[in-house]
Amino acid sequence: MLLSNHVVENRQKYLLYTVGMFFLGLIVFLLIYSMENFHGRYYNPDTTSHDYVYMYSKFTEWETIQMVLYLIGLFLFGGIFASISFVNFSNTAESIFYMNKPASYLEKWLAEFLVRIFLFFIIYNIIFSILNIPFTFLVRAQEWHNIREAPLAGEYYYVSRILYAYLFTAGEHEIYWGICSGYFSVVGFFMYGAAWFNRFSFFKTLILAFVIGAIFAFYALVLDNILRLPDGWNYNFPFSASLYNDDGLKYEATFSTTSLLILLYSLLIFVPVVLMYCSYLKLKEKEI
Amino acid sequence: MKRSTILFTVSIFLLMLIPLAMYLAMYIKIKNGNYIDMDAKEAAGYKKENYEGTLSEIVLNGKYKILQLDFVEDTVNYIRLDTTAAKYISYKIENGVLAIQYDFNKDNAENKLISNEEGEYNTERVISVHAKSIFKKIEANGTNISLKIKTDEYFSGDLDFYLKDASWVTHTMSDDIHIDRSVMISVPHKINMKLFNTEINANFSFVKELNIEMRNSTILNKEYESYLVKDFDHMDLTLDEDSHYETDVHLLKKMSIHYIK
Repeated sequence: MLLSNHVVENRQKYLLYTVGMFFLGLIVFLLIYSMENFHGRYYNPDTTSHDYVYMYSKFTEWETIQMVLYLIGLFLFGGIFASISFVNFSNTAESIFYMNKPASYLEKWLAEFLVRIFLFFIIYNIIFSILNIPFTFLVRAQEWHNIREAPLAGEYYYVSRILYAYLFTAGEHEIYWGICSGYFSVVGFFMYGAAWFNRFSFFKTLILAFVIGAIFAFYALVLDNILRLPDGWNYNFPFSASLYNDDGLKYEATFSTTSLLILLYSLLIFVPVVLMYCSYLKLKEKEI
Repeated sequence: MKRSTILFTVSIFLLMLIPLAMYLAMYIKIKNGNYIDMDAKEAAGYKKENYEGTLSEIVLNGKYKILQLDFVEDTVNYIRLDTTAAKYISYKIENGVLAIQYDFNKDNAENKLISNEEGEYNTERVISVHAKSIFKKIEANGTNISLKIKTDEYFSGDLDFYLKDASWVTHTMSDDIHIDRSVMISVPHKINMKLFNTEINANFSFVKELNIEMRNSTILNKEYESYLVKDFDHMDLTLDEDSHYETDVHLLKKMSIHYIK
């Protein structure tokens, strides 16, 4: 009820955003298509290198571009979309109306959360596919043309696959969880910013992120300079430490993979959950 | 201060504590002497001149159940010994159960060792290795070992097998890399094989010289695809009456067979 009310109330804003996202995406796709000459994946028999990564690329250029564009778009548009969360708090009348709605803060926050996370994700995928599918056909045509123009001795090439890179391989890799966590974190962070800042929340949140990043960088620098392990040990953060002597490496200490994985997965859960909860608290504490 | 601000600040503070905690854990680890003495490998026959690029031999001397290796770049940068399950593999278990010698490449993410967590092999002894690497020497010695090895790289040196009581062994080139003429220059020049009570299924195409000694053993030999034109120069086979050798290699130039009692 609240969710549908929310969507109906903000339909103009979301529609405008969706159209903007589509045209921005279209410009990016057009730019990339016009600048690149696609060859697909192929085997280069002339190379003397034994590095098969270069002889046989795992993805075609287009598949790599698909993947990169998809992720950049997801985080960028997801962030922007999350930064228009809640209501325009700079407008007092709107804010009072929003605050006085007959629903709890949790319900209001949940409605925003569902829209930011799920509705946006669906819209984003639809828009990306609408842009991606015709461009993949265009790229394929170019790839076939290039392959015919210059037949390859290896006979081992293929043309780009539609949707392949960003959809079907995601679940096979551990990085998938990192991307999910990152997406939730970005959305949570910008929702927090939206609840905090009354005006220009996107830019202000970006500045906040920059400040936090700078603090971390400075902190890492300080740690790196002041912390010393005993007896000349050198810490190769975060996995191992080693002790060198005149003959080369002689000793090594490592953290077990299991403990590092536990830490990593805890962070993957901790960061987005805390950010989401912060955005909820911030909304609850909001005063007009 | 508001609750959300406190939570946000505390979270950032907690995140900042993580590297500090890890540093402390590493400090304690080192202070407790919980690290690996790299001299152990030298005592086990490691030769320093082979350090660059090629790993000569690693012996697991009983102190460490599993030897876990992690290489960065093309040379051996460091060696990690661990008593938990190994992800990267090159090891020799005490009493010579198995020794595998590698020349590791940069990306070894696919290398997997199937074993129980203790690193001691039960009666099944299935060991599967997918290595983006080069084998120089493969030894399997023990009861009922099943060894399956797949490599993504090729080399032109000699490959030595010493197999005893191994149930089957395969050594295949990668199937996801297209094999063509350029690869042929980098396949084993010579394979030396000694088999005792062993059944194997092996591909020997590209090999110029093959020396096999078999006792109570079986080899099923399958050819590669026909576009691989490189033939066998010489095959020298020594086998006893309990051994069986089956081949469909037809481009062999010279074959010597010796029966032994």
